Amino acid sequence: MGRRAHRLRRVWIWLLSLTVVALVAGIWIYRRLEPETRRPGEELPEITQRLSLDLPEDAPTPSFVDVTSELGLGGFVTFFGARTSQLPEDMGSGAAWGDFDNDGDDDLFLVGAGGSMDLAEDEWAPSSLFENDRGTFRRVESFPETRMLGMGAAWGDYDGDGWLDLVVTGYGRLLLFRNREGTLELDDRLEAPDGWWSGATWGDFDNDRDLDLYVCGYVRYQAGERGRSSQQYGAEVPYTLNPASFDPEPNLLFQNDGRGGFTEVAALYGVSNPGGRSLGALWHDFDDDGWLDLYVANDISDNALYLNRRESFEDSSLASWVADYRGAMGLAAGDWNRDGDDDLFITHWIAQENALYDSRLADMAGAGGVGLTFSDLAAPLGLGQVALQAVGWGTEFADFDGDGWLDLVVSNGSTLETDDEPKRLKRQPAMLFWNRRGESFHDLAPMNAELATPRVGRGLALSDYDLDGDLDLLQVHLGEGVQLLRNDMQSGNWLELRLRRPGTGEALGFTPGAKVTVHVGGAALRRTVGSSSYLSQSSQNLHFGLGQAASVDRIEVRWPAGETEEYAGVAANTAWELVEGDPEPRSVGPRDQRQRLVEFWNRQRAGMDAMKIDGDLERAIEHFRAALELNPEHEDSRYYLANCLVNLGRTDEGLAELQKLRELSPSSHRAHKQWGVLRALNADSESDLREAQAAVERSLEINLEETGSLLVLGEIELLLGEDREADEHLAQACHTNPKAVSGFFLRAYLAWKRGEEEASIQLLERAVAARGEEWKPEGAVAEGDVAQRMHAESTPLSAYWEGWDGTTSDPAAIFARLDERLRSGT
Amino acid sequence: MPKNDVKSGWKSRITLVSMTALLTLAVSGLVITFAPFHAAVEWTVLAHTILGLVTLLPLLWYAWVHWVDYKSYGMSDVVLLGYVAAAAFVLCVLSGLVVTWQGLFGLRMSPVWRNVHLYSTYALVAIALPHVLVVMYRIRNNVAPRTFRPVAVVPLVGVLVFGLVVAGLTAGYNGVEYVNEMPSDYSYLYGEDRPFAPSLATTSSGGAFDEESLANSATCGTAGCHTQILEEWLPSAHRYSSMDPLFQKVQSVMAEQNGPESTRYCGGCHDPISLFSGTKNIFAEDLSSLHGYNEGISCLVCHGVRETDLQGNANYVMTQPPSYLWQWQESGVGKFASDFLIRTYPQQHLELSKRVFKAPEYCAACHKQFIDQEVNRVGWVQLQNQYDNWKASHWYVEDDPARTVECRECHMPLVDSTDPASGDLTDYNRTASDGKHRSHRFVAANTLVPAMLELEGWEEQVALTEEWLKGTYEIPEIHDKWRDGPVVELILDLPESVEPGGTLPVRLVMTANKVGHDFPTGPLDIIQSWVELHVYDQAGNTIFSSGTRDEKHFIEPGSFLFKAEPVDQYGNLIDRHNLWEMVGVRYRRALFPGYSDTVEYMIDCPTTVATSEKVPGREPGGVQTEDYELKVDDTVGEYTVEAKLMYRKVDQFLINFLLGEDSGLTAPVIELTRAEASVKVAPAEQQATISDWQEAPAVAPGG
Repeated sequence: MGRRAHRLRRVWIWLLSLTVVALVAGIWIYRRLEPETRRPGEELPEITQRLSLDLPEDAPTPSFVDVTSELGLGGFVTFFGARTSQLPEDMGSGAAWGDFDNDGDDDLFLVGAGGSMDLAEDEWAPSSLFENDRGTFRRVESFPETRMLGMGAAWGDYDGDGWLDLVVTGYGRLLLFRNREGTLELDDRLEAPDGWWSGATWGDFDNDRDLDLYVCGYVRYQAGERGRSSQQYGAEVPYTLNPASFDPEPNLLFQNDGRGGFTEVAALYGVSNPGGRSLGALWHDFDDDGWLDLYVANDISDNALYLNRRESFEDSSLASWVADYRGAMGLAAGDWNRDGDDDLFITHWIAQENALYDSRLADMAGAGGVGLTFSDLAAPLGLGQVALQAVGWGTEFADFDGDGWLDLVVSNGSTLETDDEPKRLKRQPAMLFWNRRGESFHDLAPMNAELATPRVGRGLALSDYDLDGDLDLLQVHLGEGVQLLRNDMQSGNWLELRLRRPGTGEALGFTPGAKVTVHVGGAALRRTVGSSSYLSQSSQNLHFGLGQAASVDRIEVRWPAGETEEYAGVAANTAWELVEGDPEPRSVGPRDQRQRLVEFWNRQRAGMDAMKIDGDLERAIEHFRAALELNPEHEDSRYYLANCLVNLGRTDEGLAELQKLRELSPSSHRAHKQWGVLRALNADSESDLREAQAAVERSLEINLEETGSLLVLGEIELLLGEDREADEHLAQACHTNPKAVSGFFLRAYLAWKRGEEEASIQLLERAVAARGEEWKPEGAVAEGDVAQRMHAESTPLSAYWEGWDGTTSDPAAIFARLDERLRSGT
Repeated sequence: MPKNDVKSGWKSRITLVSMTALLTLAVSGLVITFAPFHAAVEWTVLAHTILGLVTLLPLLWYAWVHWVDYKSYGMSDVVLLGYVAAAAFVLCVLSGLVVTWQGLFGLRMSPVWRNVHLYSTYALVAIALPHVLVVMYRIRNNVAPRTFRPVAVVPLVGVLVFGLVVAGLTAGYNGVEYVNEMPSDYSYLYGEDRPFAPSLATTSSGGAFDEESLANSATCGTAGCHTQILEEWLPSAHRYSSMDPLFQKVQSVMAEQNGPESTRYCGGCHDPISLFSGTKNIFAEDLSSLHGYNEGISCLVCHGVRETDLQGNANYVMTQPPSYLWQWQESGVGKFASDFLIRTYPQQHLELSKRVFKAPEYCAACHKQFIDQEVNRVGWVQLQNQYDNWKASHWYVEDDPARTVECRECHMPLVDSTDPASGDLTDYNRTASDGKHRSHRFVAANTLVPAMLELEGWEEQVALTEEWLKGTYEIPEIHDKWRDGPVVELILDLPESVEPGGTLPVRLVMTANKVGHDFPTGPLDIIQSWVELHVYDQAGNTIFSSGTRDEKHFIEPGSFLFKAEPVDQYGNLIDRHNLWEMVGVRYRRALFPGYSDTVEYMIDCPTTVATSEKVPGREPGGVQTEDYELKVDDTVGEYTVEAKLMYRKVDQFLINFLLGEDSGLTAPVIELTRAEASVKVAPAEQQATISDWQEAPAVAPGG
């Protein structure tokens, strides 16, 4: 029995185990055998992408927030009308950051690409200058109207007065604007032949401490057979859209004589590059000899590198292995791998990849006689293949995440027309290449909705416009407008440097070409003042991501046409100003901004407390004025300052403050209405009353539904003897506002004046009702319930209706004083 | 007779395995039932389940063998205990399998089966123990003392090992670790003890809550659990309370003009996740955190509130509900395990459902608002308050749910449900298995924002909201105590006739019909409802109109509006929702539930009346008919008076201010209801002869 039971047990165990195993195996086999339907885009082991680098786990999240509309740039449009498929319509436009008003933050010049070549010039989209006002942008109305098929712009202080001047290029245009202490005026000192001028770049190539200007000429476009097609790098494009259809335009070099004159010397120096269809150029001291070299990006023709040999330039394009034949657009220079020399990044046309020309200068140092050479590392680093489908334009090196390594950003947008809608160009997403510690680049743009949205990108420029210590990104989209993306991805520490030199005037001058090396924790971070991107210019302030470092060890500055100076270490997370010849860095950074902010709010709150709680208006005025020093645009401070002044009898000062508020905020209902009321209350003449009337009418225009303005308007019209208009406005207010005591009272007056005594008494009764308590069901509450009335409305005639005793039986007696007042005129 | 070859003897392997499994399962089950919520207990649940499944066959095998061993014994106390214990064991195994199945593949664990599992365990322990002890006692002299040692020691060692394993697992992973810290530069403007002031909202700890801990609403709607509720919530006002572009703009205006810290006032109700994570700070670039912005009043914000105070203004205490292991995972094994734990170990999850959620007083925490000196520096002002007016109205009858209509009954009507939380015994007119849940759409009056943001399911939300505003939204379960018809009833009061050239008095009486609080209800500085009135003659010419909108979408001056004009201390309009400056109102107009308001128009009539013109016509065959003239007395005719009550969520000025005048945007205008009536026009001497004219009827749809 025992043996049998034992056997039985073993059989059971085996049976059960086998069942379980068979079940599991069966399910596994079933799942494996069932063929899966093929999915488009599915990854197959047989297909490899060795050049496509997977996103590493430590890649940061590309947090960029679109703040374009919020900050006031939403209204800018680059292009008016519909494309007519002609090349000059499709190449622009750019943008340039520069602190033209010397208030410490970068302002923005946006080039309008104009519009359809079928439109008249005055119908093209204008270029605009925007003043950065503590992080929001306001169009500078005084900037001369500039309408053209615009291309690029660059700020440069050519007269050395410490105020940035501006050059703007376009199809058939080369404009110079001189900056006279914050006001830009058109200046005709550049004598340029008629041509299609694209990228312009400022640099002191002859080391005479004034800025010279290099201007690229693109092609000699001739409007012709629009229907004809042609081949561009093997692609079929309309003849009028193909740069290869047209002869190249030679480039220009304007040498500054330091006395206000420019001489065009490109041919003389051998840099006119007559065979190049040039779109951009970059002054940069690639060979570190202290003299600015020049790299020229050409479309459908070889690029050129001109090394500066002091008296002349040497065309080193072939010798340096950078005579790139591809269609080049954007340029950026930077030391991506921190090896001690500056490398070059170039964006290209479709199917041409980008190029990262890694400089071998540092590697070859010590190898005597070996010239400057570069090698293109784009493909193995992950920058090449990824761009095959894109037409790249604006580009910059920048350490967006603050990890100490220069990342890259590229704005993309095709030149090919969409198949279904030829009036539009194909859109393409931008690219943000994260530099993984000098080992590889990874495009993070697909992780950010703004960057990943396809657009027709062109210009691109960077600036820390909000002074928060990271570089923000501005892109120009052809046919649309601009997009300002606030950088929220920087996590490491940072440093910003503003390099200045004594100028000819009081303001400090700028230093394009200055080279800076920041030494931190064994690493040398190199930056140079000056950029080119595509038709664009980034900030002249230098940004360094420091990773975890809380300070830098030392800073080395090689001043253009000057000495090399060394500065002791400074703290991180601050902006510092370095002045040539001054060994002490000055903190100008957001740390101060923060203190400023705290100080502002302390003052503002103290003002409100003094006014509203303590009733100490003098003290409140002091605080509000101090607050407005720190933030002149603060509306509440100005509004309450004005009211404090008025309450102290300083009406004119109050009116002046309200007037400023009206100008500052044209849609401020309260500013217009309060100004109108005060003006009317203190009117000495009919013209005062007319001004008051206009202000109140403006408030009504802003908000037609408000009864306060209607009531005041009615009173002013009574004072002006316009009884009919007054009656109409007062009646409107009364029909909407059951508590309009003044409205009923004054209409009663008008009825009495017309001899309608019965109607007058009825209206007086309604005024009594309006003045009385509101009836409410028991337990009910209503919005605006208060323990006691806490507001007062002083209106031009409030003394008369507020002083009324509430009787209704004898209109003649009630209105005697008012009638006398109104009959006496102003 | 006893058998000689007993297989389930004291020292046999199967006995030791079974006793160890049984004791471990029983002890761990008791821990699960009685220990407080903890990651270790969650691991215990998982280990208990796995152990139960793994030892299922050995236990069944043991039971079989044990029966075979002793089936020939005559009936005795011990045998009887054995059979009863066997019955409990079978129930325990069965119910364990059922709850495991429900936890793995169902939507919820049935409380009945859970209880069967629990009580059968108690029974098993209670019966098996004497069954064993009695035998041990009776045979104590016949066997060596060592005989009992393994069966006494091994199971205890098993429990110990089980405990160590659970402790090790807990040490390895014990759930999401929240970072409950304020930013290092957080501004404690109102004192360190009131980090969220001037909002009255606070946290149970008094300090910061990691924003993650109140977010992740999407995870509630996965695995088929609260999917419907999540879908309802997505386009609802509670969801977009922070991302609402108008709120965001007002918040930034407040930050710019009154200081970033003061926006905490709004955050308690509009953006609590950001508030509690310390995002509303002076140096912050964004005053709303990512989760706060995306989820507004998330699932856990409402369901995490511990207590509310009748004062309003977000006077509530927020708790940080402990999360289950892997709770925020949205897929994978972790998510599966997390769902299993929520279903099989639901005590903590069930804490999220509270009786207080039904109380209007709970809603009042945010639907009752004021400003006081701390905000405006001047004094106390009542703002929107749905609660107190409801409480004072005829909709509230103390202790009588059949005659009271509470917040949830209208704004969270019952909908057909597959939700595991459907059914409710605590509502007077519901059952535990009514297959319904309360809609989490919170349908009310906003047709602007869901469409503007194109939130998931916004079309349905907007359609239902329009129905709501027009009074056509049916709620069957309160049909017997609610009202039919429009939200507000209109009655036109006209004279029978008017003389040409005379004055036509038109009276319009508006009565709050359905609405449970004021109509409209705040914020009345923003919301507008107004009367659009037209008088037409028979030719369709407009004799008079009021309440029309101009091309810029402004309502014409002189219109009758339900709204308020709040003012600052200088009598200037609070037009940007700048409540920090508000000290009172110039006027306000709203209807209390059941009450009426009247507007009168005195309309000057022209001296002649146009009637429909007769024109030369053509018959269908193309034959030209003869021209004729109809002699008409142009002093006799009829006017049609049409009154419409319109509604929009946001006034035009505010839209222009916040979104830009060039945006071309305007809030959708909804016609809530209309009334139409006619009045005859004739000179006084003719009026008597026209006796067959219908008396001007007062028409209000549905009324």
